[in-house]
Amino acid sequence: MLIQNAKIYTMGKNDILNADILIRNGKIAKIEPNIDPANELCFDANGCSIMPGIIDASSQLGLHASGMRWEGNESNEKSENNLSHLCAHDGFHPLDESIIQARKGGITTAILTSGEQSVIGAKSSAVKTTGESLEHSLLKEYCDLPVTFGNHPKRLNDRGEFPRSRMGIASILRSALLEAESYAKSQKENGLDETKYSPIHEAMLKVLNGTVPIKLCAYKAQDILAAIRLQKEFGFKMILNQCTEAYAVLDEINEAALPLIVGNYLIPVSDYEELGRRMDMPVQLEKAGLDFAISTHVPDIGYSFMPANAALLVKHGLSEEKAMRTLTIDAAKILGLDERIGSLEEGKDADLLLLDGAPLYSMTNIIKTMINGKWID
Amino acid sequence: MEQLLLTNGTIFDVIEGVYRKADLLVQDDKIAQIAPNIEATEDMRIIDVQNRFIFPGFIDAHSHIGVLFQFPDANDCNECSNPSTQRMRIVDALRYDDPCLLENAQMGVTTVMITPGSGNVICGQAAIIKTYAERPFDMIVNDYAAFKLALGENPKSVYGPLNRMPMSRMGTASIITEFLERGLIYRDKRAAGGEINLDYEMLLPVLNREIPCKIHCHRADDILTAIRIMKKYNLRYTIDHCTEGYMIMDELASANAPVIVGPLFMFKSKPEVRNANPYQAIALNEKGIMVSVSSDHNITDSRFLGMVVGQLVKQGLPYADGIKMLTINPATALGMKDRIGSLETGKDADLFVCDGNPLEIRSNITMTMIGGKLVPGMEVS
Repeated sequence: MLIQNAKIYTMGKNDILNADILIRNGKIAKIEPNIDPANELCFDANGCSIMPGIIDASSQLGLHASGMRWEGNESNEKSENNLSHLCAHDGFHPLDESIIQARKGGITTAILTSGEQSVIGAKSSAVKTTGESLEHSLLKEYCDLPVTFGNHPKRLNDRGEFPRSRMGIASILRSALLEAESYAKSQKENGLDETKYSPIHEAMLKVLNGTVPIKLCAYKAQDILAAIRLQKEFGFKMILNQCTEAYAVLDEINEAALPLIVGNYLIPVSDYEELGRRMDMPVQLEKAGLDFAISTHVPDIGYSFMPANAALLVKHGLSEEKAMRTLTIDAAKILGLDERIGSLEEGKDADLLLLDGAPLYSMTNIIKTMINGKWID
Repeated sequence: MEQLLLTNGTIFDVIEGVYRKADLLVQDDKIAQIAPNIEATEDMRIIDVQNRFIFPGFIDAHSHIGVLFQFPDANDCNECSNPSTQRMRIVDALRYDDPCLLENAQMGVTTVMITPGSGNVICGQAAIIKTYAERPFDMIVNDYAAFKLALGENPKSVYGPLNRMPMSRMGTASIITEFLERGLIYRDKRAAGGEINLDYEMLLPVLNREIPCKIHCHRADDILTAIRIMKKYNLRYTIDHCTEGYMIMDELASANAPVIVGPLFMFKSKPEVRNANPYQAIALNEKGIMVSVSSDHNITDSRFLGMVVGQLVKQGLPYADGIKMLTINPATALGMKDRIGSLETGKDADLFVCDGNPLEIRSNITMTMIGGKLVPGMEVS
């Protein structure tokens, strides 16, 4: 297929291009002006804008089925504090209507992230929002390991369960890492043993050897600092998630060169963890030269407003270019998916949005969404 | 007497749906005059709005702002100890310094109806407040402006697990009708000089059609139950949420009650909102039903009501009708159309100045005025 006559926000080396896009086998084969249309199925974009599909960097999309309560909610498995033997994509319902909403709202890849009610969550998975079975829509099985600090994973019920304090929460992560270390050591010394095989330790080892980052959800400055301290102790890779009070510990984040995920900014501040929210925090991250992505994080406001989320940040001082990057290439880089998605460049997946105006305006329409070279909706 | 003159503005006439270049004179808390080239006098404060647009303040007709927070022990809008809590008044829970209130004022939302939550069948007394005033008590416009009732899942999900009524929609309806029947007897008793009963006294203005019932109903059957009971007792009412209204448009149109939809574009978090379609507001509007769009703050954030209505305009809702859904329609639903909802002489000086389309999230609201007072923390020339 050949898309002609488009204004392209490539988010790659070439900033904005007036060019054609040639698509072959779901990939971008060529982007340049005046590609020879002979023998191609042509699509006239009529001067509309095209941008890469949006990446929702921390998402419960499809983990909570629409119109249900507990019966359709797979986002938390509260029975244990370490869920790293679970996979988020096993809770994913690819046919749920929220996935259509996400796609129409421009989200083409969601990083399925389990909820904040256990300290160590299920392995996060990257899926495309095609609405197909995982066989066709799974992009990466184990993107990151979500960990939550602060008040949300506390078990403040009347059954006296663990953990009930920040000490308890940190000890769960520390113990899991130390136990995985000794598991690896014993495996090295004594060989594999089916009675000792532990999917939890296997998942934690991927973190310890740097293959997979921890996506650490922390709101308060004290929790961000605790995370950085643990990261120094063990040397794992880390993405900070939410980081509401990052402005208070910017030097520490900068020294550790941590990438971040922020938002959802359309949800009002009503949670204790979020009381310190400041709309200029992402602007400070930009000034400090830090990379960050944006997320829906919770399903509350639905999946229609990722561009509006970024637009809101621009209104509060973020540069337009940085805002576009947070939705696309920076998110892909942070999550290690930039070889496949995040920008419109030769060889990458043909995931793109056709827009009737500038991308970061809430009155702009997303006319069509393409995933893997196919127009959907 | 304080006078304040807004010059070089373009005023949106909500009733006619057109923009007009005119000056606007505020005297104390009211709009004193709207006309081209009003002559300035020495004692007037003059604000040049620099060719921006002036809109009447937005109104959120269904909100829990200032009363509902997610952290432990901070949900003060549901007294779920009994399915009938008619004595509860939402103003008693209001946190005047909730930062959301000032943020909303700065985003052009000037009046909200705050209401008890829907955990009980007979939830209590809703109030109308302004989002900003120099002194806290001045925010309250009317501390008993509607009587909140809830049908459907929410009361069932509170009392069902406790094996208490209502565990079914039959139970919900019976709680309401029994209460109203007792109210009618009480009204007669009072008229004959009988003693005050605090459990029924608040029903008198409802039975006398002075204030409306405010009915939480999502599913079509719940909406129909609401209409049926309200007709039987000849009460004023608003249909709040009205998620499946599009399935019963003829009944809604003939009921002729204001419809308050929202929150829109929400994740469908429970069965009674399973068939939600935010764009139904367009169809209801075409049918001649008076629709207001609400946020149910903090379920969604009322700061972004403009953006939400903008999504409807993108799908074909006329722009002027979209503005009405945030101004004169909710003003009418709240029984306040003589005071707010449009910019007209004699009405409250509740307005905001915007540098573009207020339904676009990127537009900047540069000034808000509530009751003639400028909302702090904004750029005013």
